[in-house]
Amino acid sequence: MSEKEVLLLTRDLTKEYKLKNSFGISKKQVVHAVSGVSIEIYKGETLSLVGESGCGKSTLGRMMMRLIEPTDGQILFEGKDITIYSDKQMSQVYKKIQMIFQDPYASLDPRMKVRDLIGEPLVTHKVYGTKEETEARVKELMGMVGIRPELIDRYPHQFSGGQRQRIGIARALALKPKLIVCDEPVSALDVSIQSQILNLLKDLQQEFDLTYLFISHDLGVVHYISDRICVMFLGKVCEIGETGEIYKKPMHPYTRFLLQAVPSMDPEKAQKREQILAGEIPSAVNPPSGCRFRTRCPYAEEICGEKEPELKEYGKRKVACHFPLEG
Amino acid sequence: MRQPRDGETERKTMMEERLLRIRDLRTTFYTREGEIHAVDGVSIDIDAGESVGIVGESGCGKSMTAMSVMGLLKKPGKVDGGQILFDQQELTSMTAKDRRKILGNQIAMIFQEPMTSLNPVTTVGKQVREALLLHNKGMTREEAKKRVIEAFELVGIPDAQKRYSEYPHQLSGGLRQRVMIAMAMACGPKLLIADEPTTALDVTIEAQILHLMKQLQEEKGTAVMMITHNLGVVAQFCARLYVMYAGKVMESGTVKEIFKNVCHPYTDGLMRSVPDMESKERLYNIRGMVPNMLHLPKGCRFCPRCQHSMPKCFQQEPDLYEPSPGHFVRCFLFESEGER
Amino acid sequence: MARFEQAASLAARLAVDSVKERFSPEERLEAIQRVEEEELGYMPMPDTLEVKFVNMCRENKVAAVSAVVLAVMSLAIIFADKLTVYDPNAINLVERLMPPSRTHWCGTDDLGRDIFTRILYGGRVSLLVGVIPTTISMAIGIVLGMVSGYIRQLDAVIMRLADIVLAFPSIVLAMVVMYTLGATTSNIFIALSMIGWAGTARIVRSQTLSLREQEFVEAARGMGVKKWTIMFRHILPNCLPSLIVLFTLNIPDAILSEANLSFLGVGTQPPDSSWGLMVSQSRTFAMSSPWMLIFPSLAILIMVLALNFLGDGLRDAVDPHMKK
Repeated sequence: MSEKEVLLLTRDLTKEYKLKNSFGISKKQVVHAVSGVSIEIYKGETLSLVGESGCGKSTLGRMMMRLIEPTDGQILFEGKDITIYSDKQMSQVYKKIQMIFQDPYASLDPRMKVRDLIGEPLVTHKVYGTKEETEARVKELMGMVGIRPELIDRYPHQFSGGQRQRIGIARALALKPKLIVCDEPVSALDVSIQSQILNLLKDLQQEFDLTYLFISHDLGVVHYISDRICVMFLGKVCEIGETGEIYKKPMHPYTRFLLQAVPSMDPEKAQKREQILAGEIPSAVNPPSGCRFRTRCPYAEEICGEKEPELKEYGKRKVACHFPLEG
Repeated sequence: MRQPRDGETERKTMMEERLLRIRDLRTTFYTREGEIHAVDGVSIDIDAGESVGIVGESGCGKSMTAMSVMGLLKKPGKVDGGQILFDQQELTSMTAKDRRKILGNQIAMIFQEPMTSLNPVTTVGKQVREALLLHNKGMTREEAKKRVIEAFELVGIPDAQKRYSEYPHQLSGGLRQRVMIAMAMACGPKLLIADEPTTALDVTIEAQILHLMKQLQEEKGTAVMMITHNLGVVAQFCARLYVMYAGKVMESGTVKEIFKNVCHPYTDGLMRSVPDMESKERLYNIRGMVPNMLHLPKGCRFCPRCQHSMPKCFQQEPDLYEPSPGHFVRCFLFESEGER
Repeated sequence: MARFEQAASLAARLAVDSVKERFSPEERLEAIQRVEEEELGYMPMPDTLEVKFVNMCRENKVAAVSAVVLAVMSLAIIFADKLTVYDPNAINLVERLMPPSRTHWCGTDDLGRDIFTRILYGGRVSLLVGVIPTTISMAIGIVLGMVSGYIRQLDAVIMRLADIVLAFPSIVLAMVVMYTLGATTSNIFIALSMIGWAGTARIVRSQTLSLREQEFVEAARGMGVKKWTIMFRHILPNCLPSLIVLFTLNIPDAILSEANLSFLGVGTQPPDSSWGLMVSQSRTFAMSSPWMLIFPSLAILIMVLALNFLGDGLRDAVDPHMKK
């Protein structure tokens, strides 16, 4: 499934927020949201960014579209560095990279009809000359995502959460993008609707040869939809590789604890004490020195506090750990 | 109404001793657009020390059931019918004063969003202390503070003494939830109602909290009503389970039995919609959406989405049938198995 | 895993069962689609503005009454010349200070002018002074507020300007403008427009700040929509409900400001009348001839109240679908 052509790659991508107190004066404290992340996304695949709160996955996803400006680093899309693009050039990039958002209630302008919501990208980029053509395309998109075209003049509040998410997906597809960044697209939906949307995303990917960057904290969903996953912790990549392999044999301790933490639907398989990761998620303002995971890691040793582990290759996988777990 | 079958005298006496008996509860919201029967004839039993799961998606009425028990319904909602018997006492007909003696004391509740259920302008220690003092009239402030710190240590809050004087926003989500649990457990309740307690937490923190709750439950013998949409949580934590849909109980029984021999098409569909972490087979989709509570379909509430429906399903609502002892299903497919 | 065994078990168990009343898959689909069609019927086309207005009147009687009152007052004011026989400025010292009677419904003032007539004609000034500067200042305030909230670099500058305007007593500023430009009615409009924008700008700015963080604005950015388009297409319409209320609250402010200016001699100049001027001119006669004070005050009171109630009703009518 993976054609080895790289669609998007990041080099040392970093985002730091300076904290200010209420007078607007810098507190000399910095939030290290994303620190030196270098990953690649291959054409036609689904790469998932997985992690808990504060890991930086949402920030990283938004930086790919420069909805958040990177503090440092480069983003190469189809070989070209888009971090230095002007607004006008970025506008052209947006025809190829689109985003689906998490909150179906907040991602659609409540005062716009479905026609205008899905049509907005078409109108912005003047894709069609006449209103009729635009309307025809909007109806086509509505059909693709399973919303009846007669509902084109309704408002978002008349739809359910799942239907709104479909409208958001139709909007993202309007410009025939190559890459879609999906920011927790099913987290706010009921379980039975989640599977509908996931299957829809899968079908659309097949039909239109899409590439997905799928951001989520739900490990079950991630396993279902992604070819490769990238596990993040406190702004850094812990492990990145093929989904099946990582789930079977995680090499980074954090990955293993994440996987073990998911309550299993098999009542016979009870969770054991040793499998539970202790401690709180550290703050991103003062991340631990060296390996950021070391304060929660039961296998941490001295070197973990002194030197940050680099992302090393182990076959097709990359792991950032001084003592990666063996199978 | 549930009638005991012949040869079930054992069960009969046990029923009288049940800690919580909800019988045919009806809660209705009288809105401008019409009446919403959020809880429509729901019967739930919880024994002392038992952990029971109430599973369902949004709008099924699981949270409203809990709110009805706690008397926390907001207008325009009202408990319209049925009984709630806690420890042989009828909660629905009690005065507010008598109810207050029980709530927080013998029945406690923890919520999904610890940030909004904790007062942001008071220290967490004081809040838990307040709960203690409310139900223990003779206690002094110092005594209460000691008990609070003990409770904090019990729930695994590190540096309990220091955390006593901290404000909710200074604590992480997991710690706040532990404070909530401490507050709930402070008075040694017989029943703990947990409404989606881990939904807003990160998965590693969720594991910690579930483990903690299980420990406390075993040590103190507290019964737990666990309301959730997460079947994994139910499988790990609960002994029995009720599946709710559109205001009614669709299936109930022990967790082991239901997960092994699922009967109701909705429960079955739900289980097959959840991705597991091993296979990539195409997920099952339950067709359609949850019905509009103002315009419920005729017949079984689930039939427009059911792949096993029969003509009968579109005409009448099924009763609860019992295909195997203790396992109840509201579905015509099991009609021949015997009346409930 | 256990899950897929279950799937087989339910379906398998059912396949073994010999239940005659089953559907064929086609029949089942038909039955399901019928139910879904019904459900679709519960998603009607949204109401048009006229329908919304009528609904609002039906539910909110106070707002409906206010709308009628305002309509009647406005019509009376516009057609003042058709409804009165007296000349508003004609001095008639013989009939001065007469209490309300059949010939003079509201009595006469100190120069013998019919008060009812002066109220209707004066209403023209008050109405115009209420509406026009409010409209202009709100337009300025909306644009500056949105820019301030959306474009960070301009935020500090605009807000400091607004702070300056708000810090001065508005009357002082208006007086300065009037002295500079000269005391004519049209200059009043200019003066009031220049001081009124600051409050609106502050409110619009805070709404813009919160709307800017909403995902639908992010989505627009992610499509390549330009800044100004985002502001007018996404942010402005979502500020609408509070702007409507603000509008109805600002009109009385403007009317009263004009009254103060006239009182100080830099507003409407006699012999023309405005309600504010009439109120201030009645000062000396308030005790002896109270009708000189009462009727113009009543006119202001009724219009202000009606505007407020109507504004509340409108906001509720425009807003309900924002509530989840």
